[in-house]
Amino acid sequence: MPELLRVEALTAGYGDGVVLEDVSFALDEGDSLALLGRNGMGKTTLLVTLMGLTHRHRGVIAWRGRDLTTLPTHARSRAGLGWVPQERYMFASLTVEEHLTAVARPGRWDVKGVYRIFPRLEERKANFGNQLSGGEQQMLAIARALMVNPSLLLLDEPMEGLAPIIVQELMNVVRELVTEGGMAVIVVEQHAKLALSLTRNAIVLERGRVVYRSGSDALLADPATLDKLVSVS
Amino acid sequence: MKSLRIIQDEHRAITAVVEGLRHLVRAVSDGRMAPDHALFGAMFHYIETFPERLHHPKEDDYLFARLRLRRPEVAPVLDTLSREHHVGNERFYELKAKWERFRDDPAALTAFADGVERYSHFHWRHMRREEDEVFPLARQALTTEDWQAIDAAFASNEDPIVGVPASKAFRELFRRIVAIAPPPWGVGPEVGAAR
Repeated sequence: MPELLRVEALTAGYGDGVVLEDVSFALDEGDSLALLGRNGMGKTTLLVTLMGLTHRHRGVIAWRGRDLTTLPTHARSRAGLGWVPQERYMFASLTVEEHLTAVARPGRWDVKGVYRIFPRLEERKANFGNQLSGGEQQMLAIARALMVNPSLLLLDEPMEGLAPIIVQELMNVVRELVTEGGMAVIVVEQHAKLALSLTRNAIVLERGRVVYRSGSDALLADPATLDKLVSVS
Repeated sequence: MKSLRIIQDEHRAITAVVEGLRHLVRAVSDGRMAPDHALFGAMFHYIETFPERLHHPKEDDYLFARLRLRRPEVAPVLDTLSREHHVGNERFYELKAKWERFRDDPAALTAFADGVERYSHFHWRHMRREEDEVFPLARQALTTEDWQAIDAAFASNEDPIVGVPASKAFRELFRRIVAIAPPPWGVGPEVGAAR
């Protein structure tokens, strides 16, 4: 598959502060990557940096071979990056359906398509963002990201605070997106085994640097290394 | 070794349902919600058909069988686990009978709740033994040819009784459980507290 995203020697942070240092990795079209590490090691900052919301000190972010670093966040979204932030950012004044239609762009995913994978959202389509349960909010956050028809989905701790049944359901959906939809995905997840079970490759960040990279299956099959790197929960 | 990933994923799905059942029954016992027997019924149907009909036979017939050939000394552990598959089946039907009694007689709640706690502990211990003891041995001992055969068996994921791809049916059943389980366990409607 052709290369979708290439991050090369990326150093970035907030203002003058450096959080990510010399980070490099690449992702092909339709590929999947687990971004692992303990709390505060720079995982979320890396996703936020891909979306253009931090200060890049140096390094390259190339999207299908073109430089992405000068583009503002909305242009990155238009280019094909779909972001599901940890905070979910639901709007109390918008209904479920308005959340979806407000960001819609032409492509494979439309309202009907996301209702098919999240039937509960169709039942709740007239409800406002603040009337949803945690699980429903996470479904809406993923559905909203799909509505921009991204080529790459960035999932920041999608399972955080959710009950096991909902976690499993979301995992099923993400797996379908990766295997059937041809969409690339980067998953940040505290529960390393979950993220590894969803992805093909993994990198581990420690203090903003990549300290380990391997196939997800290989890391999953090496509990001692995994435990050492991320203190598996 | 795709099959190990599939088994772990299936373990997670089964555990999610069993743990979900445990939490729901606790909520009913504490008076935080009224029993939803349609939901309990869907969960029992899932546990009855998925682990008992599809998951455990695959472990016994493919993973354990190959491991027995390569590492005969592991036979006692595998015997225990295979026995637990049968015992688990019996315990499941005992639990289901307790639920049916509770459905007819609310006074049978305590026995049902105790049964759910015991079943969930049993399931958890069994699954941990498989993942912590058997999987590492399998990774060391099985050959590429073994894994190809096991992976093929697990990837096909066919229901041995009805002979059709079962993954879609179980996927739909799981989705239904998520849809009707009340928050925070699922995304179904809020259920009123028991009076």
